[in-house]
Amino acid sequence: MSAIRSRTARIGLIAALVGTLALTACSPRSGSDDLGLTPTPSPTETTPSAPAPASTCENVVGQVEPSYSPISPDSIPAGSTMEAIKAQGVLRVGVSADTLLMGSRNPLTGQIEGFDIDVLHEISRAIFGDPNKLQFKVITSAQRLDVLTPDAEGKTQVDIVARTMTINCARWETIAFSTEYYGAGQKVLVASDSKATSLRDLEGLGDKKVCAPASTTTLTRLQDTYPGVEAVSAATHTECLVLFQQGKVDAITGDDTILAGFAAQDPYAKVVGDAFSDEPYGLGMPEDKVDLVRFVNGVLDRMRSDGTWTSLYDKWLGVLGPAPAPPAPVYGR
Amino acid sequence: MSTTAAAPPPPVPQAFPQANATAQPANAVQPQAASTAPAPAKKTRSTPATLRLLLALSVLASLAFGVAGFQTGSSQARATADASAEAAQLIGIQSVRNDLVSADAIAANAFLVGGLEPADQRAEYDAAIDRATRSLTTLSADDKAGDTDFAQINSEVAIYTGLIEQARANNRQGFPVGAAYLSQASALLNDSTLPQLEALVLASADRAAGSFTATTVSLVWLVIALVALIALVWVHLWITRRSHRYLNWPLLIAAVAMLVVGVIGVITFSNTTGAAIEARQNSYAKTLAISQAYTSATEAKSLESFTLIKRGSGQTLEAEVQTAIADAQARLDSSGKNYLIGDDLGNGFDSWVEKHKEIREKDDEGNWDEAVKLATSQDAGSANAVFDSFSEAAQDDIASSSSATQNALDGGGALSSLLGWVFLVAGLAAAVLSWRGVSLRLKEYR
Repeated sequence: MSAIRSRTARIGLIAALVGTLALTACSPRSGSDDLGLTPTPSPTETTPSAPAPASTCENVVGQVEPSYSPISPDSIPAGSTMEAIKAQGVLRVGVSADTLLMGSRNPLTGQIEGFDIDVLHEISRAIFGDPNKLQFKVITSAQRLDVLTPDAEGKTQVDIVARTMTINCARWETIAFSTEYYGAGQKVLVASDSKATSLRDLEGLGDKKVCAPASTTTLTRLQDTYPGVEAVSAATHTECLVLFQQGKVDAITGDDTILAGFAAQDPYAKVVGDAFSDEPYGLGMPEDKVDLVRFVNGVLDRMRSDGTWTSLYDKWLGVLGPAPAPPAPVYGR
Repeated sequence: MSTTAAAPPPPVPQAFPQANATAQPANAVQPQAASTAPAPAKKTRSTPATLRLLLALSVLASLAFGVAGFQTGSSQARATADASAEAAQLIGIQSVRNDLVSADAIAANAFLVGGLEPADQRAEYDAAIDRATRSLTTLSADDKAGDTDFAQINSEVAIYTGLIEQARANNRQGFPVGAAYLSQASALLNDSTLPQLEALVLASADRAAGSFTATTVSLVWLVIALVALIALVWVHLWITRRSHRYLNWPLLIAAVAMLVVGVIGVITFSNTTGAAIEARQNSYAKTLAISQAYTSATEAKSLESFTLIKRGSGQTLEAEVQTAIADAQARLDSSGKNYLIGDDLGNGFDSWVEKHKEIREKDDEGNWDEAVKLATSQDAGSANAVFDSFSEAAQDDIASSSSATQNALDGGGALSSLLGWVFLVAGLAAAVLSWRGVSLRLKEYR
């Protein structure tokens, strides 16, 4: 029976072909297998968001925390921190690059400049005899204490922070300050057609959003003292200005120096009212570098007495009015 | 067909047709053993009636064969076409992502230079945004899933470009707030737009994977075709036994035609499946590997500018740069894979990594100005030039291996589709032939 034989042969052949088809149907893979993606844990934010230090001490209103007494800025004692800095060739400084007038990068020249920066140039001149031995590290307000905190090897990221930092006793617990080199005050920036002249007015208007940078004394005070306004935090003061220009916040509160810089960038903004807090600015240094603090205080004293301070004020902060007398140093620590 | 007319030999009555209906047991006794005699009651159906049933059965079997083959061929063709289109869509989405990331890198890079943005950098940024927005339009038109995400992405790109323009305007006037606009634009891109694009890439890869799997022929249809063929052979055998004639030409031709088409079909279908599997493991995998390596590389390049903008605070970002670099290098290394990525590409990327290292070293030792000079230089041999040549080579490789994938899939799909039609025609012809073959026998009872 050839028909039957050929039939079994046919069936066999087809079965074999079907078998190969079934074999080639390999195990299904998903799209992420094709992409070679390995399930990785979602990247965690590593922004050093140091919370505003829980204040266990009381600042006395109208009084600045005292600093260490000065030493002469004309000579560098052997074995001192200043000598080590001189040996490393540069003074590492933590600054702002977006605070107009105090420390900001001039887009036209690419250089960082401002009142804070010029104070640092004076310190560089005292150590190196050259005002330009500065190595800038641009930091946010929230990073100011971190960069001065020693790591496991006892090293800090910078030697000095000059970034509109208010001297207060809570910060004195982790870092050291120079004497006050500038007396700022907290004010409010509002739209030029606003009738509000203070945060109280804004509270009265109701449902107003006020911006302040994270980890600043400003933000803490805003939340504690003015519960009637909605505090909005941003990474830097300048990002507050972006939110203000976009209409996402109604006002910015901050130090008059910073707000003056904003008003200079935005003709539809104005700084209003009297300063409702004293913000004595100090240069921040590592807690254990007392000799450096004394040396810096010496430089600041000399700047106060020889007119350098006044000429710097006129150069950068003349928009705020005629230069006042330099803030008096307070010693006694 | 002409042979069928000539083929059937003149019918010789197989038995006594008239008597067959009534005297079945008597007839059966003659050729066969007496054992059939005790079961006359079972033969309740007459031979012509059975033949009529067989006629219907063989015609239906032939048609089923044709339809099953057609269904197999066309569904495989559809699956390969889908896989091909989805692969192109996926590459398209990834290139939009790459364009946006590099536009962001260029914008950031221009900020390093100062208020006056170099004209050629601005042109590059414009070109990248132009490419991205154009592709977004075509991609959303080609989108199979009907995702609304494209609309969302489109609107975010519009917001992004708006923020960048505000950043530029402020930067040009020397206002530091420009940099804040830039970082807000970057945050929008990185926190919202890019994750959405990545989700679309993944969804598209999943659909492509589904289509690749669907190119594997469904066995059900082939089993139907096989059963149809067996049925036809069985009809032939039944008639052969009944009519004492070994050959019924129309039926035989129909069966042989079905067998030949069936064998060719199975070979073609398994070839197409094989080609799709091969493409998936080879050129498709290669396309994805290079495309993702390029994405990581662009990311690293973009982050480099941001490490410099941070000026000394870029260490956390540098860790991300290193992750992206390692990812790109791993994907460009094809050893142990089914595909081969030329060493040139990996070397091209490595030489940019060297340049990047130089830039970071300058910045880390405090020489920010020199680092920026290196990072923004457009001269031959500069970091930008090296990256550009890598980027060109990568894009060429992506284009060529993606078109290889498409060729393999489209070629196989076209053959499968053709074979589907051949099945259909063969099935129809076999239906006609088997109708003719069985009716020849049926006529003998009239």
